[in-house]
Amino acid sequence: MSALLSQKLTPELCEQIRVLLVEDNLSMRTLILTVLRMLGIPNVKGAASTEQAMVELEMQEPDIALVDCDNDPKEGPRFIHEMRRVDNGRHAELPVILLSAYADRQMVERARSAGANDLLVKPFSPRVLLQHIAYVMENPRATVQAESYIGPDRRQQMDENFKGDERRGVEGDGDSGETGGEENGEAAAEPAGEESEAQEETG
Amino acid sequence: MKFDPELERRLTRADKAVETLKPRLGEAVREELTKVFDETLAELAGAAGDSEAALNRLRTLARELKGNAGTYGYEIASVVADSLHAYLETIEEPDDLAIQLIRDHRNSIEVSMSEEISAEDQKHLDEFIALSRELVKRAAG
Repeated sequence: MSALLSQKLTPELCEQIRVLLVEDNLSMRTLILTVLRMLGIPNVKGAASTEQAMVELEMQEPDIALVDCDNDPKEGPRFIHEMRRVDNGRHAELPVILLSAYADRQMVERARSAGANDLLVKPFSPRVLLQHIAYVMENPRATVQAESYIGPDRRQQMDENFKGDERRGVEGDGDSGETGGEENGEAAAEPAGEESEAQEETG
Repeated sequence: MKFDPELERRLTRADKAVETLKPRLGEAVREELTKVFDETLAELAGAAGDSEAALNRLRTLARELKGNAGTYGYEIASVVADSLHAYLETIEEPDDLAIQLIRDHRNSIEVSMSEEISAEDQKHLDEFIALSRELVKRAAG
């Protein structure tokens, strides 16, 4: 996990953050790069495609990724899904903000299922962009690494009294990752039809 | 949400930089957009070319424009693009497309990205957006 996570976003911290920006549209990429630099975030790598972003990820360890998905609404989530699996989860804990003009239920579920930490809806102002960056950097979520899902823990409720076989942190944890606390209300906040996520957790 | 005073100063500077950049980026978007629209419409109107790919290109264009135009300050263009995207989502086959309706959206987007919109143009745009939404509602059944 990046050493910069869990810290309050300060001007000094901004100068250290390494950002990966995946945005195919040149004008929008220019705008976001300009905004980030004006905010004192100079270490930004811009990628015009998800293929280029994968190459960038091999060369650097960003502290946060901003991924646009308006060119193809499935491409951004697919990239996040694949990126989380690189080198056995090397980027499993990387905070990822998905950028989209659409925030309908389908888009939100796609983002969550792929392992995005946050969804930023366009159009947005510099302040809103900084608020989202601050939120995901200051509040890193526990990471789930399982066969079907790698990314931030999506559950919003935890049942401390749950004693099931797949309770995290107990011996005999299964690895199928398909059952567990949900029956006992741990995943009560999950949207209907959402795949239940695994109980294994790293970090 | 309030930030550290230095970050607040940087935000003010970023807002000014965005305001300065917007016209130039908006112009680039408008030129690119009309070019892609016209090429795609020509492809859809003619028999040659891959009409399925052209339809998907239009969908992408409308989706991107919805988010990007709003960020550059062209809120009306964003609304028209959203309406066009909603219409395109009701289309299953390229043959079902009402080419003139796409042209009307294209022209409305171009007008709404002008430096100044006259009161008459604004009235026409408002009427067009309302009409487009009604059409989408009917097309969606």
